[in-house]
Amino acid sequence: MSIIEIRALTVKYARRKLAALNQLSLHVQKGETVLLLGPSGSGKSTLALTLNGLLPQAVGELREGSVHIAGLDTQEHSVADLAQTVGILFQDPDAQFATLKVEDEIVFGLENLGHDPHTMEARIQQALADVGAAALRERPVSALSGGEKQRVALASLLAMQPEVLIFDEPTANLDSMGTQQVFALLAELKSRGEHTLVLIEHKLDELMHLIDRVVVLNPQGGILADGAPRHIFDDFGPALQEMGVWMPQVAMLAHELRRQGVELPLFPITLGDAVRAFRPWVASVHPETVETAAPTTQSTPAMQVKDLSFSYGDLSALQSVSIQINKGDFLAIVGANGAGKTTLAKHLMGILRPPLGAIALEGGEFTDIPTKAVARKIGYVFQNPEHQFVTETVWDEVAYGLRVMQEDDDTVTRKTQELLETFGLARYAKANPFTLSYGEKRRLSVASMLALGQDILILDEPTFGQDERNATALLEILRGLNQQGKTVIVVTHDMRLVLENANRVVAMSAGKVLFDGAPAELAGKPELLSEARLTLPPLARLSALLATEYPHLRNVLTLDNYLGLKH
Amino acid sequence: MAKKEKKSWSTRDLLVTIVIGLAFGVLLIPVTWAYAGLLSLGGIFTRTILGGLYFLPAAFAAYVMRKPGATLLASVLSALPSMLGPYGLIVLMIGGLIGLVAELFGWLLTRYRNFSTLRMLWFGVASGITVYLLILGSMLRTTAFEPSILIAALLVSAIVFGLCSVIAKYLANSVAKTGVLANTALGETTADEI
Amino acid sequence: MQTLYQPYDSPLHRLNPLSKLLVSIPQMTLMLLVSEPWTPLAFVVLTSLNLLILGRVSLRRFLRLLWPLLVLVFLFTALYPFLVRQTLVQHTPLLFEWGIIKLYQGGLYLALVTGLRIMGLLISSLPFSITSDSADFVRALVQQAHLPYRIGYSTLAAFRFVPMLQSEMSVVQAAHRVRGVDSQPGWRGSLERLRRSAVPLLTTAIRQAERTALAMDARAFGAHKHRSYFRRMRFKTWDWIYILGSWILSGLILLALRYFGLLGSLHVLQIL
Ligand SMILES: Nc1ncnc2c1ncn2[C@@H]1O[C@H](COP(=O)(O)OP(=O)(O)OP(=O)(O)O)[C@@H](O)[C@H]1O
Ligand SMILES: Nc1ncnc2c1ncn2[C@@H]1O[C@H](COP(=O)(O)OP(=O)(O)OP(=O)(O)O)[C@@H](O)[C@H]1O
Ligand SMILES: [Mg+2]
Ligand SMILES: [Mg+2]
Repeated sequence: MSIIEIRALTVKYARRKLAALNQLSLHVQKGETVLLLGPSGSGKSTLALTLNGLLPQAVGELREGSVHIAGLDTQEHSVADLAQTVGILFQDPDAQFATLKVEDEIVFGLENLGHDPHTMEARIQQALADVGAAALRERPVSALSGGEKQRVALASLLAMQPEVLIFDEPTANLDSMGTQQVFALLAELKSRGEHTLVLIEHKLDELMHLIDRVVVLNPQGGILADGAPRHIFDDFGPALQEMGVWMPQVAMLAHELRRQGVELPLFPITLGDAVRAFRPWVASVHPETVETAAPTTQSTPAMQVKDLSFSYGDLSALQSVSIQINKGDFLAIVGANGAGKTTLAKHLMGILRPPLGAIALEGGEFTDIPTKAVARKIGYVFQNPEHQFVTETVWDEVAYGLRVMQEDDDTVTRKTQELLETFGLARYAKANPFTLSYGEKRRLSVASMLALGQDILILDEPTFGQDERNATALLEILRGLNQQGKTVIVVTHDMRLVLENANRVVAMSAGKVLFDGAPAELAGKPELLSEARLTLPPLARLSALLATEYPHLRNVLTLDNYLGLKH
Repeated sequence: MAKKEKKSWSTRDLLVTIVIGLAFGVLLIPVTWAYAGLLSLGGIFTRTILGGLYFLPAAFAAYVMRKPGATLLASVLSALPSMLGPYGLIVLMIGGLIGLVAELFGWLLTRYRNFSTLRMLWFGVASGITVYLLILGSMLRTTAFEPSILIAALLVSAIVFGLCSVIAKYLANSVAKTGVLANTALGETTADEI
Repeated sequence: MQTLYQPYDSPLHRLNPLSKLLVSIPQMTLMLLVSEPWTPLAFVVLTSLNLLILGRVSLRRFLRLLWPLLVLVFLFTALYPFLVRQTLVQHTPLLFEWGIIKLYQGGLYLALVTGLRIMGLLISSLPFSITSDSADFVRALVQQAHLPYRIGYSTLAAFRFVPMLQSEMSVVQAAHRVRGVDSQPGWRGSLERLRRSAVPLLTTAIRQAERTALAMDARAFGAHKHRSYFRRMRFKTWDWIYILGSWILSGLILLALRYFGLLGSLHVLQIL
């Protein structure tokens, strides 16, 4: 019998014309591990909420059809009853805690169900052991790292002993180490075979070996494809790319090669597959080392940081950091959660006032320049775009900066129009900035920064939480600006972004600069990577695996590098 | 689908109301310090004006949530972040007092249905006068102000509370435009289908 | 929430939070009522001893906690005499005169009283606030004071938002500075400023609250009228000893002050 039975389900949110899910039918067998994919807004999270009855009992309307979990109709059984069968791990670790301490958090659900203290003690120990977090029991949740938070949140679900576990982008806020931790947990759960797992996730390469089945939603909230992973990524690949859905990187490469007429012996979806699938082709390319284009920037300094240290109270966040940023650089700042990246970026903008002599802007002393004047030279995009909105329409948002510059009305109108068109926002001119989608908000915050025409641009985690299409679009814009001679500085966790775009990378760890140089050079230093708690993106790891046999693959790190190999 | 009864409190209603209180509480922390500073200067008018700001969370919650209890809850919680300030637990009492008065007039004047700007104004004015009289009444014996000054301060209090009430409505409408209030009583009355 | 609480093992820490509140609240009320310096002084000393001995607060931390209060009280005492309403103090001896600045003995006295009372008010809540865990406090309120558990636990969940909101506030201000935001003078400018900082703050807070509410519902929060508790809060023997002991001691202090004629008349809400 299927444990999840969804029949012709149509779901609508209040005051939305379009249904979020449309005549969707899905059966999942006990013990299956299902990956749910779909473009942003296709209804993945909505589907997750219908599975434990939160929809329709707390949000949304169930218009047609039915959902049964382990034989229970979600409309007839309360969320509380269903909570013992279904558990959801949400994206934001901070938004799912109800209490202040790990132990309290784990008993929270059990207390709500009225269990007695003896069962609770046994369940706490079991749940914490299951996620390898027994040592965290007495900690306050505020003192946990992102990865630890997700473990504890999962333990609090496991304590209720649900058969079905749903993961809605559990790693979106984590650095690569935290992500690995969560994936290891998933593998552990899967190997025990007691649970049915439904995953919504973007980072796919490391996950594919766990997946039994992939279900793809279409933008209308129906099912586009449903089947074995290899079949889906092989046959529906182009359609997925078209919709902007993330795919395993190795599958992307396979499709690109197929377009060039290369036949592979096997369609790869995991790294292991990829080594076998690409070996014959790699053997056929010219054994000529790819010359990594040496970074060709002028070495006129735009900003210089000398011996900068900073602490928040007792906590030292930066320890004698020295770097030089040249005009025309595309500089990436990488490192684990809490390494001090944002703190450094804030000093570059003067949001945190640097001490005298620590930072020079175009050769001049930074502290001498008033914030207002700094804002004309440097643009800063905060991690959360909503923080920067100051007006009530998209148009005013972009025009605001121009008015601050005291441009005349005609110039303001013309430049605003231009910028909105460049960023694909022209049709939202009258909308309230907060109502845009996440990707659009991010682009608007960049557009409104650019209105001032600064030469240096600092962006904190620009692609965080974006779908494939939005991420690509944003980076194209940044690369374009960089080619026009602007200096771009990005703080990011995404090593693929770094390898594909940056000409320089600064790797930080515990407030210190560990590495400063070309991305390809960093990629070739495994000890440094692990010290900075970084992992290479899948394609770079693939070439590292293949390079033992084919040394000419050593510097092949990105999709473009692969496609550039000569026959 | 059977819509939940309007008067019942879902977990979401509770948390949203509480967080409205806390968010205003954070905005009001500097006000509490300014109030304490002015205390030593004896500026009865400035103090009355600042006091009116404590009405913002009550009016905001009344306008957004439109159900009994929201006003009191938000008002009490807006006092929590200031508890580390110069008044300690006393701010909680003031929060409770303003909340109770506002709850009473919210019920009398709006019936949780009519929230026109005029009603909001009266709601604030009535609450301002009552709060002022309650506090003043308890300290009449000790105050040394001329009656004329006391009456002037009463007027100031009424005006400030009234204004804050209208400002709360304006703020709530601004927030509603961002779409986050779609699931509240206010959201149900305003948002368009998109 | 950013609280003064520091976990430690001391007699005060081990008490039920409600017992500490039952001692603090009457003391604070008393501070609101008195109009002479001796009672506040007595209670400031009593509470300090309580903190240092029963609370095992180190002298260093005690002074660190106290110095902002001392500065406030000092400023009060220094400024108040000159600003106090002259009609109240004109009948007392003039101590000092320089141009229009006049220092009356009555003014100085009033300043001292007010300063000490504020000090007493603030310090009397410290034994509660620096030794009580918020979660225990909520548990005690729900289990013993019959606060509806849905309100208690929703508040506890929202507590974590306060530091987030505070840092959010400063980030929003920095973000606006970076955009070259000018604040216009006048009330329109102030209103605009309020909207600009309040809207993003409320928007993120409400969105976060909705997510947390869903996560709580998903773990059966509010499903039943009653819930069980892993940790039970009770009044133990030491709680009764602390409560009754403090009340009796306070009563004795008041009687002694009265006996020596130092306890003046009581008034309501003089310092608001
Ligand atoms: N609470 C809500 N109220 C109104 N509309 C909503 C609500 N939640 C989601 N929607 C809408 O329903 C649709 C499906 O949203 P959903 O969050 O399920 O998408 P998703 O596939 O999870 O997207 P993403 O990858 O961006 O998380 C979207 O158009 C979204 O705007
Ligand atoms: N306002 C603050 N007050 C106190 N400590 C802070 C503050 N901001 C950051 N920190 C601490 O300083 C250290 C560096 O923080 P920072 O935000 O610079 O890290 P990051 O590298 O940007 O991390 P992430 O990848 O998680 O964004 C962390 O340990 C963090 O907890
Ligand atoms: Mg989603
Ligand atoms: Mg950061």
